[in-house]
Amino acid sequence: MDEISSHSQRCRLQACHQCDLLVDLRRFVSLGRADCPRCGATIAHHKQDSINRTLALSLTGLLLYFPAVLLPVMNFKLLGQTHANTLVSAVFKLIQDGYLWMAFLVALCSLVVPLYILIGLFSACLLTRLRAWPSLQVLLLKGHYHLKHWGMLDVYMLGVLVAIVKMKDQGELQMGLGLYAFIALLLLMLLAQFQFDSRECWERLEDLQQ
Amino acid sequence: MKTGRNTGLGLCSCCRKLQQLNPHAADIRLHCCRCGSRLHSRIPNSILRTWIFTLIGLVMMVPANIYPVMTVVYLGSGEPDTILSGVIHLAQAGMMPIAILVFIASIAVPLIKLLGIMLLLFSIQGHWHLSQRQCTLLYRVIQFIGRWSMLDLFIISILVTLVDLGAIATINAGSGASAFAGVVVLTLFAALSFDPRLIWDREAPSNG
Repeated sequence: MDEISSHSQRCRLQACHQCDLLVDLRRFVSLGRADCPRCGATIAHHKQDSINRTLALSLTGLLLYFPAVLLPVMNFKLLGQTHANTLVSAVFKLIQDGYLWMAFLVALCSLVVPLYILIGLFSACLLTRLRAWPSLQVLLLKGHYHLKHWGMLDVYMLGVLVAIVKMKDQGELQMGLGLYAFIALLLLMLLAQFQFDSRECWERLEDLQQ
Repeated sequence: MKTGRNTGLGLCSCCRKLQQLNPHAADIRLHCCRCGSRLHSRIPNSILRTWIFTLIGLVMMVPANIYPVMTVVYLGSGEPDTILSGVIHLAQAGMMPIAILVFIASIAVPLIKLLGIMLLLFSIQGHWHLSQRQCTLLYRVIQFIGRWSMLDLFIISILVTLVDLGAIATINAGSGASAFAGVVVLTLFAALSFDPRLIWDREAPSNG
């Protein structure tokens, strides 16, 4: 047993998270990416300059977050009456109508988790660079791991598109500034999550802990 | 075939640090040395938990499809739509692509997901014979499509807010939407509590 564990330090042994096969990562160093030879899952994927790029993308995303959720996405006009919707007002309308459970879920997936992911990525990468507060870094990275499945801006975007196509013939529909901010936020969010290499953050954190 | 389990090593599910599991202290709670999460060789009670979430999800599919999810009131009149009747109305109104999209996201995806998870559980428990590659592919498809069933809930929340014009036209949510939200959450939990490593354990039996 001890032999294996000391060996694992030396040859950078890693278990596949989807099939538990032990893989020697040294064989993949030149590729920058390691796929499990048995089940094909991506075990490690090194990204160029990951921390700086994630910092830049998540900071830009944070700047766009508030315009995207507070400005009107669409204006709907019918027989002289007009109404606009924003991401935040969609949640408040559901609360008003008494659908608390749905409001909670929509708020979680379209407002809370995306904001947390942006703040979490930004501060985790910043602290990694500054080599400061390892215990806070642990909390941020753990939070990101547990919540990342619940950020659904891409699904929301499809919902907006469906709503546009559905309502465009029913009355007068205008796109608002919020829609453009939202599209930009979505792209930045996807890029930031793609650039983020949690493995690198955890490894740097481990060096800091020792 | 060397796996983490048969060499006494465990992978932290949160930070993916590979570390020694103590074979003599199976009942002592282990924590990851890097991030402090609970450390397990496999997700505990994975099969049981996945079964529970899946079965409750299947039961919730019934109210989600029977009760109306949305009512469009135009100039004082309108009738409630269930998920299926909403799709049919969209198709009748000539919006075929959207009808197909909503059908896939609201009816096909939850059903495929629940049936797919049950198929995975059956094949792990030995009642069904699928190869490990097929199971892994099925697991990845389930993981990928799961979140898209939130689509209908987002559409409802957008339309309810957008069309709020007092006496002229309003769109109201219905109780079926809450049940459908339950289905979505339960299927997501079911997929998260399933441990894909169980698929491969039949090939490489553990040495204890």
